[in-house]
Amino acid sequence: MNCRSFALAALLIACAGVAAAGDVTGKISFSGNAPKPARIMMNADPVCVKQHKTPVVGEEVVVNTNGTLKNVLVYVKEGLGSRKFDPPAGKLEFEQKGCQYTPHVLGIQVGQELEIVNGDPTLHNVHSLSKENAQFNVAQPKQGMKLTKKFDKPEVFKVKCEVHTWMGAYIGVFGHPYFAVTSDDGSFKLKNLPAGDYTIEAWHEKYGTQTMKVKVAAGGAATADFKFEGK
Amino acid sequence: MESVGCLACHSIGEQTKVRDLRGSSYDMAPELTRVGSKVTPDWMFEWVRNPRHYNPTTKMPNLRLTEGEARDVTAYLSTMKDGRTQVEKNLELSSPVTIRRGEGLIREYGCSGCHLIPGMEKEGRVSVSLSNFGRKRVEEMDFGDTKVPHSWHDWVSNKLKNSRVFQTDRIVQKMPVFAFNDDEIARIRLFLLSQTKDQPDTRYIQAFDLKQQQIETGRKIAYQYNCRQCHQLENEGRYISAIIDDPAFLPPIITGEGKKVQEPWLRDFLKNPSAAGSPNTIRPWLKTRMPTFSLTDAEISALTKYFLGLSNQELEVRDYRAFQPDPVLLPVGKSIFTDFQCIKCHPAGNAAPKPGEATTSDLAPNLTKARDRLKPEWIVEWLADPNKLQEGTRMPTFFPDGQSPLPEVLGGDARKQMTAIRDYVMSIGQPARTQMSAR
Repeated sequence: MNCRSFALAALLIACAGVAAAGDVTGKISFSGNAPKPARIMMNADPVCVKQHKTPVVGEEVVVNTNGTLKNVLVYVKEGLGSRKFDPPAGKLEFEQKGCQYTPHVLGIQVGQELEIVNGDPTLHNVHSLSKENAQFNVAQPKQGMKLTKKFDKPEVFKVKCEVHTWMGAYIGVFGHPYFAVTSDDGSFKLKNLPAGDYTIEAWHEKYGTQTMKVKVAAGGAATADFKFEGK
Repeated sequence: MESVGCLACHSIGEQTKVRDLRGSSYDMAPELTRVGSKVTPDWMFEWVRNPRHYNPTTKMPNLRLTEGEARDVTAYLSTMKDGRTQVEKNLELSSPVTIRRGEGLIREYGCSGCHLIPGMEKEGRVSVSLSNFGRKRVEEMDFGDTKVPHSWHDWVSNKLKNSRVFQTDRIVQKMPVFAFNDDEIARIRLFLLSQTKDQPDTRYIQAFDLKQQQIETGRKIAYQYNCRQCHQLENEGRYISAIIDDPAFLPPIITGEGKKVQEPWLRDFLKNPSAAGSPNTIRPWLKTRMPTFSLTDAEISALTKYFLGLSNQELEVRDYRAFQPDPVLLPVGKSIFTDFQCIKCHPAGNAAPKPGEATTSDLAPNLTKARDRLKPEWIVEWLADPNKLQEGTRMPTFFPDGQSPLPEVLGGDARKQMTAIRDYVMSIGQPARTQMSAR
């Protein structure tokens, strides 16, 4: 096979891959007792208090009205082989607002830019407790300050603020684009997965991880519903 | 027990994480799982309050437990017993005959070789010198009635396996049976082989100059007192991390202490880590306590030189009181200090946050102490990249990639801004002191 026909064959395989892609969808249901959301006292910093008219509660466990779990990170754990994925061009935003992190759980691709913004007129610092990626701990003393970060290696790690000890968030870094975070309806969709067998993992900061094997048939779709249980 | 740091050295029951991390060969303190069966509560209370009171040369430091804390620790430890029932023994303790016989046995077995026994301080050496044992010839070794092959190695191995193995009806042996395992026997045998009076070729002897000798002296003391069990020192240590999850709550890395703290401060701190009253005066958020080791002046001086040497500083005690802030930079430093909201975490003299305003103030050292504690040049280095000097610190960098977030101040020169902050930090507390002396 000469070079040109090799390239053509590769292109065909790539096209076939996309044509044969399917979505994995699912829902994270929750049963049992969830801990009562803890009230966050922001008295340590009057600037934080001022931004909230109603009491603020922690986001460790958020059960949606439809009985599903919010802030669950769902991703392909195994099955993509040695495929490489280029990072998307756009930036993701991670904001400190009202002395809380938005979003509370965030997924990002290796090499993709994350813009960390201080939306508060007070001092924040972002301290990453990453193990695989280089740790950083940067202060943002002024409102509107921005910091751009990229991550090299896949892992889920915590981010915290040392000034406001209640502030915590999680960032999941992946070597591929097949990840999602559940929001107010507890559902997720991993779009356009090439046909194949996968291990899907669901991660929650309190309830840990669960895995499930799914098969994505050519042109088909698959479902992966997880059940988390409170104690 | 869990908070002040006992578990850094002692294993108790299933709490063996530090031992598991470092290995049981480094156990320098006894396991306390059954200590309640061994000692009485009264003795234990006195011991934990001040170990040196009972044994002046013990390695156990003073944790400065309050009376209440000591009582709680004693109560807990008293429950750590084994299941054996103590049989009431009918001992004849006052008879002069048994006393004399006991003394005779103690002398015969040479207990005073290791134990300090009043009245037996001058008993002399209880066994043979091993300083040339590596050269001992087989003909000089007594194999008793055994069939052990006649070689140096076989004699030593068998002796270490069972110290009484060469005993005969006529020749009594008294060396204790240490129950070494095979690995330990191999190591001790190798050490014994090295015990010769031969002088190594001068090419193989490292010649230390005075400075290196001084560093080495301090290094030995740091090993002796086991600083590394809690601190990281020369890229080694912090074994206490096995029981503390958050790096921010670990005892500090002290490899760079020599360039960080002023020598007179270090002397006072080592002498009494809680001079200002509370258990942890520098880092109030730490639950683990820096123990009082009751170091001698000579030991403190050696440790100071060791730290200075590690940081490539001159081995001398300097006086830092003459430091003068730059009058131009000082107000700029104060304004950056305000802009950066350093006060959010660092209590700083008169500018300390109002009561109820900040509960985060216990999260960082009080900066009124900085001028008597920190070396001015270190503060600049710290501001440039805190994590480089103290990995895992909660102190963030305000100058990521060496860039200042305040382009309008001092022409945006990050280094100048750091120097200005330094000058301000070194001035905090000064007015208060002048007032004090004026009164």
